[in-house]
Amino acid sequence: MSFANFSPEWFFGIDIALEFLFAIILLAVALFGLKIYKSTCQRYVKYFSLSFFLIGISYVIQSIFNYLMLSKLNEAICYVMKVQSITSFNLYGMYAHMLFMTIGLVFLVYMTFKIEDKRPLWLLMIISLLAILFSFNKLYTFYLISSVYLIFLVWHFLKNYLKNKTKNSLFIAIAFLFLFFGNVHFLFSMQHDLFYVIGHILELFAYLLILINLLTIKKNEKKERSS
Amino acid sequence: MRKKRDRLEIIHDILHVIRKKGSGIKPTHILYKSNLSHQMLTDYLSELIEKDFIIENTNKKEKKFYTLTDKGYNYLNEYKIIREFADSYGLG
Repeated sequence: MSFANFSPEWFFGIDIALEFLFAIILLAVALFGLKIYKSTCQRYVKYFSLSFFLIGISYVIQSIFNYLMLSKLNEAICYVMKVQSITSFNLYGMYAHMLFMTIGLVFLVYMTFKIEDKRPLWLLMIISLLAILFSFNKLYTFYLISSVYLIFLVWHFLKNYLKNKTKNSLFIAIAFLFLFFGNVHFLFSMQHDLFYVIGHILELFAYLLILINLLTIKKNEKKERSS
Repeated sequence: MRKKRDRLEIIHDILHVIRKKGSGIKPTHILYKSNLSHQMLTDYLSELIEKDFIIENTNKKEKKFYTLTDKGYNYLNEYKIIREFADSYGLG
C-alpha cells in the first residue's frame, strides 16, 4: 500500500509534483528560520526550523515513494535491496513519511509552548508514535493525530494574528487552517479518492500562503539592506 | 497601555541601550534604560554573554561595563527582519 493507492488515475503525477513543491517551500522556510536562529540564538526558533525541515523531508519521502510506485524503478530497487515485495517496500516509505511528519508536528506544537522543560516534547513524541505503531489502521491514526496537532497550531496562529494584526500573521493562520482541512480530507481519502485530491489542493493553497509570506519577508530584507 | 514585550524585543532593547552608549555601559544604566527588574536583567545579561552578543569588561575601579560584539551589532541590524519573521509565526 502507498499514498498513490488513494489517488485517482488522472491525478497521478500531479500529486507527486505538488508534494515536491511543498517540500521545497518547507525546506526554504526551514533554511530562513535557521538564518534567524543564527542571529537570535533562541531555542524555539531552532525548534521551528527543525520542524519545518522534518515536515519538508516527510514530503520528499512521500513524493519519492509515490514516484517509485509509478515507475519501473520500484521493482529494481526491491530486487537490489532484497525487499520481499513492492508492497512492503512502499509501506516503508509510508511509515517514514508518517514518522518525519509526526515528529515535525510535535516539534512545532512544542515550540508554541515556549518552555525550557523538554519532557513534554518527549512525551508527545512517544505517545504519538506509539499510538500510530500499535493501531490497527496506522494511516488513519496518523491523520487523526496530525489533525489534533494542526487544530492546536491553528489556534496558536490565530491567537498570534489577533495579537500582532499583521498581514503575514494572517496568511500563516489561514495557511494552517487550510492544512488542517486538508488533513481532515486525507482522513477520508481511504473512502473516496476525491478527498485525496481536495486534500492536496487545500495543502497547495496553504503552502502558497507560506511561500508568499517568506517572499514578502525576503523582499523586505533586500529593501532593508539596500537602504 | 503598552504591550508586554517579548524576549526578542527585550534583547533588542538591551542591545540598543549598549550600542547607544558606544564605549561601554554600566549595568545600572542598562537597568534604568531597559525597564527591567534587577533579576531579569541579570538573567538576560548572562544569556547575552553566553550567546556571545555582548562582552563583560571591568575598568580600573573594578566596575563592570558591557560592549557589543559583532553578533550583537548584527542582531540590531537584522532586527526588523527577525521581528517580521517572528511575528508571522508567533516566535517572539
